Amino acid sequence: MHDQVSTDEELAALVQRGDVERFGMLMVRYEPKLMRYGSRFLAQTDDIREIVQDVFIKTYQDIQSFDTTQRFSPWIYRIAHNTFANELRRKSRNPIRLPDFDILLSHSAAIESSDSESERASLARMVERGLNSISPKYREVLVLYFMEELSYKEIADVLRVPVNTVGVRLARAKSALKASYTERNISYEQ
Amino acid sequence: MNNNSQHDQFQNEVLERIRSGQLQMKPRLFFVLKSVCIILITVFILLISVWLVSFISFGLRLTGNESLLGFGAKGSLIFLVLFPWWLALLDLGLVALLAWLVRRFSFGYRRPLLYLLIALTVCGAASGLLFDRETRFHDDRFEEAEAGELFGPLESLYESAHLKAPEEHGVYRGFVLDIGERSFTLTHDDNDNDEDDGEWTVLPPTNFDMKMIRIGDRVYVAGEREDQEIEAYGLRILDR
Repeated sequence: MHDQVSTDEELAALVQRGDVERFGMLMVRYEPKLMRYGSRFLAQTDDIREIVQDVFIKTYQDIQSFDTTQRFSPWIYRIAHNTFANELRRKSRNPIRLPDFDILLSHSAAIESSDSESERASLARMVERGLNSISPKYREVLVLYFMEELSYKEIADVLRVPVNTVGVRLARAKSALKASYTERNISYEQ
Repeated sequence: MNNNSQHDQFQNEVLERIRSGQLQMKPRLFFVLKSVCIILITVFILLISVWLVSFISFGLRLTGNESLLGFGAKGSLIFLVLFPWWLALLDLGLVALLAWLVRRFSFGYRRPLLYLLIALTVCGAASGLLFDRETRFHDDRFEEAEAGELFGPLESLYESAHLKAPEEHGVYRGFVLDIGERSFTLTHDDNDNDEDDGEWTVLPPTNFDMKMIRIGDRVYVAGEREDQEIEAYGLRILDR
């Protein structure tokens, strides 16, 4: 019963103190989220279980580095991001990492979008359907914002980019999605 | 049902590996030491970068080449040719490495990379210049190198800072031997008593106050040489 109401951070603190079984609780909570994040980010479903399992293994190994005064979800998503990005690079024909110009300059202040819950849900559905047509860089930020419902600041911590860059990437991702819908003659507003 | 059993199997596999001791968490000390190491490496690279800038500044001061910046467009152009670009590039490499290390911390990645690079370059350059101008660190090491008291590679490095004046670029450095009404006699300061030693008559720029110069002064001259006469467009008395 106690486990039902424990926060992720409380569970992580217990795991840090050696309560291994609580790690199972964290896995129960995060497995569906990470499976969804991984399958959208990598645009694949094969082997995703093994990759997510790898994320949990790394999470357990590194859990002593987690600061329990911070939120647990950006921390585990950061581990997942690194694992998925490595997987993308491993499978890529061109594994050389290109410089990311988004993080180079300052962008105008990103104001967190104030979409209503229903608008956000509708956008999430649109995102879900069009994800495979856009690049992983934009796909990921859409998934983290619309599906995993992380804030700009949390996404910035997961991706290790300035908060304004998150806003810029989201705007570009939406444009890319819109263009992809237009190309396929599907109404974006549907 | 199938999906649920897959979930259970998945989690049980991980938990089983933990229970059997096959999978272990890294101790907190590991992360503390890792952070300390990163901080120490960052500080070390920062210090090397500052030292490098101060060494470049010292070299320009010692050779007098920094004087060229006050000798008009022609002097500035020669300054760019004589500037130790390889040391500056090495320093930029260190700054890039620093930026990469600093971006591991939230205060680093939350700022645009360009701002971070500019801040590190400007702060590093300013600290290096201040260190050279406000302390005698490099001057003392140079004297130790001249006396053969410095550790091997460092001795060679400091000796290499005292380059011969690049006469092929119309730049001369030496001591004042004699002073006339509108000219003075200049000699080499390399003291190696070889065939390139000589004396030149220097005609200072028209706006130069001859009262400023004294016999024994070490001077830096940029000008056109014809035989033994140098018509200077820039002249500066050096500190040492």
